[in-house]
Amino acid sequence: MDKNKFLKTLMSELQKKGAGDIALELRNDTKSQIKFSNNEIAATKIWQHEYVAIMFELNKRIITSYMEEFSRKDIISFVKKAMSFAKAMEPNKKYHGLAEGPFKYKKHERTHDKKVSKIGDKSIDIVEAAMNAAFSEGAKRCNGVFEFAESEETLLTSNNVETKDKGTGLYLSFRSHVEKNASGYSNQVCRILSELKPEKSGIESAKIAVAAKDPQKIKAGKYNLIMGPYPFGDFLENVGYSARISAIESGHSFFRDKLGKKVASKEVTVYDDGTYPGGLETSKFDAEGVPKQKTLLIDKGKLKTYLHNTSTAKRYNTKTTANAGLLYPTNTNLILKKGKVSKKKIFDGFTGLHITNLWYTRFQNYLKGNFSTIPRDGIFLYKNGKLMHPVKDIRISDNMLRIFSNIVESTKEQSQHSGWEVTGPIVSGSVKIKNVNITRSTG
Amino acid sequence: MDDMAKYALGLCRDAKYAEVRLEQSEEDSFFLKNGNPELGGFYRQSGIGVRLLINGSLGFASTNNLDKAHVKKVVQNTIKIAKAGSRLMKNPIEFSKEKTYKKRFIIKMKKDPRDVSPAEKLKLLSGIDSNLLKTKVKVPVRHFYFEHEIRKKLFLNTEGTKITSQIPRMSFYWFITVKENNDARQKYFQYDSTKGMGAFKKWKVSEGIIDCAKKLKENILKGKKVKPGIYNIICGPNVTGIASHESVGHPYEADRILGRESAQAGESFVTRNMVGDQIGSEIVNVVDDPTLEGTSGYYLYDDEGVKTRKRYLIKNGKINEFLHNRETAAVMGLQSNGSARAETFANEPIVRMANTFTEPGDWTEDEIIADTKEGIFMKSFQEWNIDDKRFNQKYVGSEAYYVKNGRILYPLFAPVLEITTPKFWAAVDAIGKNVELRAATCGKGEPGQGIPVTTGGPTIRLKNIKIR
Repeated sequence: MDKNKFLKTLMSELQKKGAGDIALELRNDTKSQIKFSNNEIAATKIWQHEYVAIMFELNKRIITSYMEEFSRKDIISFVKKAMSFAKAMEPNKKYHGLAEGPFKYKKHERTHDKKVSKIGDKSIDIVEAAMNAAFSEGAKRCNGVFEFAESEETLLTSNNVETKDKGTGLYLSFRSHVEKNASGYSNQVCRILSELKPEKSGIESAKIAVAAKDPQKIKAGKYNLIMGPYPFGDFLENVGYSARISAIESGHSFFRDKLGKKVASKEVTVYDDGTYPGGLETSKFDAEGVPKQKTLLIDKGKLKTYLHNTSTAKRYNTKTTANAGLLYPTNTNLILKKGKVSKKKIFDGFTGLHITNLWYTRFQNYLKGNFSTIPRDGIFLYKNGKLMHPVKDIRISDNMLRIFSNIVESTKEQSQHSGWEVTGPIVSGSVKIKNVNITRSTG
Repeated sequence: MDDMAKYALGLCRDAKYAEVRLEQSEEDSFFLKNGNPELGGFYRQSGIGVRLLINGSLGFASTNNLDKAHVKKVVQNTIKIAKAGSRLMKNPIEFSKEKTYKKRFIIKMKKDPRDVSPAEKLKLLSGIDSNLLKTKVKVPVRHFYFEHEIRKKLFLNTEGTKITSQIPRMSFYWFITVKENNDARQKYFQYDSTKGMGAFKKWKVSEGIIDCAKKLKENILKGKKVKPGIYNIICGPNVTGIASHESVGHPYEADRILGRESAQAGESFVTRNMVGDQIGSEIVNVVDDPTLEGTSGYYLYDDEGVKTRKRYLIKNGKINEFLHNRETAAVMGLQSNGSARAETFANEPIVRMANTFTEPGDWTEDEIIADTKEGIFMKSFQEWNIDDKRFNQKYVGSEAYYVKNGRILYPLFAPVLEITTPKFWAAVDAIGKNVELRAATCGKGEPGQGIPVTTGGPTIRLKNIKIR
């Protein structure tokens, strides 16, 4: 059955049985991955998945599901099961509906490149180019993944939304090793093939790895930090997550009861921007069809809004921020406003630690923001702007609100990131933070 | 299923080795948030994963479109890219030689959750919520998430192995925030079983969550900060379990040891020549055992069709063996011990844990406490993490107490155990009889694969640990 006809038939059959709000999102995703380890290809992988993500409401009972077979017979059997399931559910008294269309959409730049789907076995050359660049800078062992993906999305809702979009994405995650305790990491994401610079990842990660040789232990205590864009993205991502109204309601947010209040230093301005040119999460519309937008989350340290979909916005007497996921608000591209200092100048006179990667961030208490996380790969101690030596075996054990209140400055050069440690996507420069609590194993 | 699996395997005739995993799954889920039934979901999924070795290169393809022409196209593309990758292979990938099996492995439930209506399941969640609200504890945030699934799998490989399996799983997850005096404490917990609805009663969710809420309230009202110093640390089963998983299970995964997971999940402080090295005190035995019926890590044949078995990771304090799939076993000249697991057909099988726990000793928990002159009893934890080589770990106490002269005196607020892995296991001087297994979801791989596991062990005591 033709996919558009399938969506309309499914919509109509659900409506005939009494469903009210309905959102049907047809996705066709193709992704390939080259996984490499120890300078060799560990595995090549291809995924091709097509499905319809479904959300419907029956007398305020909210049901989610999906279908991946596309015949009329499949629709009939799905609707039968869906109705019996929905009737046995209880009403969600806090549900307030989907956005009412139709909407006008803008075309965004740098979101799709037809060359991406044709990369095929040239992907091996891309990996090889990155590895050769790393070797030329002194790397002994290279590990990582290179992914290229294309997706098509069709959205049909009961509230006059019928629209389509498509996008491509590229991801290069690259780790160089020089010796057992000396590694460096580089992360690159983009949506256009010509923007991918494999050699840059090889060189960047190898340089960090070479500089990280012979790391030393340091004492626990308070240190100033300069965090690279990727590790700072981990903190930025937590800001984005905590701004979702669903996180506020769930007790998973350090922004609870903080709307309109100071939550960061005046150097911090953060946007959730679903229109950011070339952003991995840039697309025409959110999951209920509202055109994506740029939302000011934190303005010079002050929390300006939570992130909403139409239903949650109505509940709080505000407007949607175009952050609808299928059910709950979600982030798009999280952007830290550019700072004024250059990435070279930020180290002038700096005393503290330069962090190039993080992993395993966990909270003791989401409401308070108490957490710890572990610097990974190259960590460097600076004194009065001079690199002293690499460092190992430390942990950042602090509070997220305190961290953001202690941000001193950030660089004007920025980059977009997404990966294993930072799902993102985020756009950030390097960020200087004062007086961060560093701990280490006591035995 | 058979025809499609055979067809897909036939597409790999030029490969040295190939395997096909065909799956069908049914999953239902229910979410009650702060007393409000937020949503119900049902998901029916099927698809195929094909993995092959060609010219020393490993290729994997997955699709949920089971049209033959489509499967052919995806597999052919995979073969093309895998062949292209072989030019960078100085050490062609090989798999260990393993026995072949033709087995049918079906876990039967006494009471299938699918036979219980969504209304009854929601009633179960509402009942837990209203029982919790009847207590005098203020719990403004209450999350209850219940799901169950049945996964049917067919595994075929070019060596003649054919495994048909049907594994049911049922999970319950709660997260609460307790507030008192403008202060708050949070806690989550997960239950998991392959035994069907009968497990729900055995979990005693209401009792567990009410007890936890009361303890969190007590911790707010009476909890004191730890005075930095040297203490004996008594770890409850909950803490022993997470330490067994994070600092024994993960670093003993052979793919980490060999560097295959370096770019994502990390490597290991353990090297391949450390088998036989003393890593803990002589009374420490840590195992990973997938064959425990009813547990969330239960399986008998792994996702490479290899029969699994109990693995002693640490025996009498010495590193005993690693977790292997066929690739890592071949590199180390060994047999696989059946540790290859994939979250679904859409993931490549990689080396994973199942049920990882410290084996029991001779002490009762009361005896350990009575024998402790001064110590901290960390009964459960909330925040934790460990570095990418599994060497530096941290656990922050949730329910914790100060122990003096063999008696529990008062609750402690968030004591921090931050310690290296060798120090942790070498410091163990008493092990209890009271092994408990706790359900968890373990993450690894890229894209990330969440695998059902249990972490566990008895109460143990670590002698003379510096606490700040």
